[in-house]
Amino acid sequence: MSKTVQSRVGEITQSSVLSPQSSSVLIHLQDVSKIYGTGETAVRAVDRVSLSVQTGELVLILGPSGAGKTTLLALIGGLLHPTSGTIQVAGAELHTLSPSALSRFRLQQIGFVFQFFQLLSALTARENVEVVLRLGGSAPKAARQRAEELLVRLGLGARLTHLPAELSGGEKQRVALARALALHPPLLIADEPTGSLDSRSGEEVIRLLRQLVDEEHHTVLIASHDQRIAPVASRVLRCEDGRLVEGCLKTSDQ
Amino acid sequence: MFLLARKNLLVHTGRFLLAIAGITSSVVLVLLLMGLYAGWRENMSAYLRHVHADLWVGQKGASDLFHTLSLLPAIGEQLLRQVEGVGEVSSFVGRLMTCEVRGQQRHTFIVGVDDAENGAVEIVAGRGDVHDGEIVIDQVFARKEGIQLGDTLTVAGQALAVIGIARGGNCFLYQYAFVTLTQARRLFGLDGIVNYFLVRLSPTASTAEVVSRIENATPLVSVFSKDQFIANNLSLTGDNFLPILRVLEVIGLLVGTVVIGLTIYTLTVEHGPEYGVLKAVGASDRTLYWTAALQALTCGLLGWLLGVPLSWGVVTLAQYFVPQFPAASSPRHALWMLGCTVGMSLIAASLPARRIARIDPLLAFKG
Repeated sequence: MSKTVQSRVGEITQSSVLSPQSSSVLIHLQDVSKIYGTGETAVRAVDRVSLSVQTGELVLILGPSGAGKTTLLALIGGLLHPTSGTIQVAGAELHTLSPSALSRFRLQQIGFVFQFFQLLSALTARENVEVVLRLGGSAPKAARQRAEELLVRLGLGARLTHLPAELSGGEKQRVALARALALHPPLLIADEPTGSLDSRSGEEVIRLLRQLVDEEHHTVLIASHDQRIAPVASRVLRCEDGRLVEGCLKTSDQ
Repeated sequence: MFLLARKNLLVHTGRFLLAIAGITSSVVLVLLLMGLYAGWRENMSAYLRHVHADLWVGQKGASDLFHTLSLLPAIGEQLLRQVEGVGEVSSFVGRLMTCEVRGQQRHTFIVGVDDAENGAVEIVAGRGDVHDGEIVIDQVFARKEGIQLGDTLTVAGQALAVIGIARGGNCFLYQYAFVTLTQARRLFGLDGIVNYFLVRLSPTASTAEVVSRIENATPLVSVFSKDQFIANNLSLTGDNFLPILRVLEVIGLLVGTVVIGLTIYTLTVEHGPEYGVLKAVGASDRTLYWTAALQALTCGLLGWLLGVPLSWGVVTLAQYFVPQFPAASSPRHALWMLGCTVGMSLIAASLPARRIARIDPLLAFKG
């Protein structure tokens, strides 16, 4: 982190957007806007954003609270519909999918990691991972086995039967990461993954995310205000007032 | 999602147990009411089904034993015997009478017949071949009043020795007792009068044709098939009794539905953000509805599992302490209640399901 983040203000232009037809492009946004409310009270949370992310990239979106990072992630994750523009993820035009198809799409194509972990409080660490596997159609025994494998791999072998309330913040986020990876989704979306962690746990989560890109070629999209993540990112973007601008810290062609 | 449904239920143990208790109470109440009606119907008609008669012939306008009066001259028997298709004819007199038991006034429906086959349904103690000065009483009446074989009942000033105790004659409000036809006429002051003639048809005779012939031969009578006469006796009481029971049953089912609904709704509200997370990671609305439905079904079925044997126990206890309590326990009722419980659970799950549908998956991004 010797470099300072120097924003080169300006939208990511059309010329810098990779072609959606390219087989390596996993995410493609074209002039996407999200406006809440109408008239004078309208808030433009995301403002004409165009973006392409290639398979295997770890893209970090930096920005202050209220900049529109989370809204952008929700749009890419199919949790929000854009007011205008198109979003293509893993070859699917999200606006063409029915609500049930969109749910299925999220389940199979995207793993989510949230700032506040969002583990199910009544379930153990293993069961939290199993739930997603069962939703994906795994048999109970196979789901249990896969959940255990993932948790052991993430260093939680001794915490399988612990409830979330019995885990530290770092452990909870690792369980959340295991849940996100359970169905081998090509895309991981992480919203402030280090936001609720101490520095040591945060660094551990960052290391794991980078490892996932390097070893399993997941594509990872992180929204954060934590600049410590920047060194491990393939590309750093800045989000300001709903507009995405390229950060000078690191770009895909560096 | 059974895992989540179960765990979320069990994490609030006290509330879960309260819900089960509420549903169990509802199941017990409904089963008791159903049993009460079935038992009343069964008991009410047991003797009438037992009577060896194809036709009941009474005075014009009379239609049953308890609410309408039928008085016919005994000589009518000769007339009936002459009708083509009539096999045998016997006489029946019966009336609700006050009797004195250890100085207390009690009521019993005293029946006098001249055909021994038309006496009590089944003798459980003593003997059934009653003679003048003797009486056979129902076991419910005997237990209720503490009467034993050899005791004496005083009816209309005449002492009658209890020589038999029978079953199948409990009509809830009163029980049948049996004396000879002669004795009954003496008690009722009905010399030369019967209340009904009991007609058995010749083997090849058609019921409709014989009914028509009797009504043509004696226009002052009403003739009923056995089934019709039983229905007449049941309907007059049933028309008044049944709607009340049905209303109470519906209230019981509603209470059960509300208990399940409130429990699952509260659970859904409390775990709303978690449902939002599940929606975010890809659980469909349908899957989450099923989670609520599974929770409702779990509560409902556990309530049913506890409620069925408990209702049987309550019936047994009630009949021990209140012998005339006519409730009958039946596996058919238990199965019917199972269907109701599933229905109650699914209806109860509809409110939480609507709540789930409104939960925003974006909650997952919030603290």
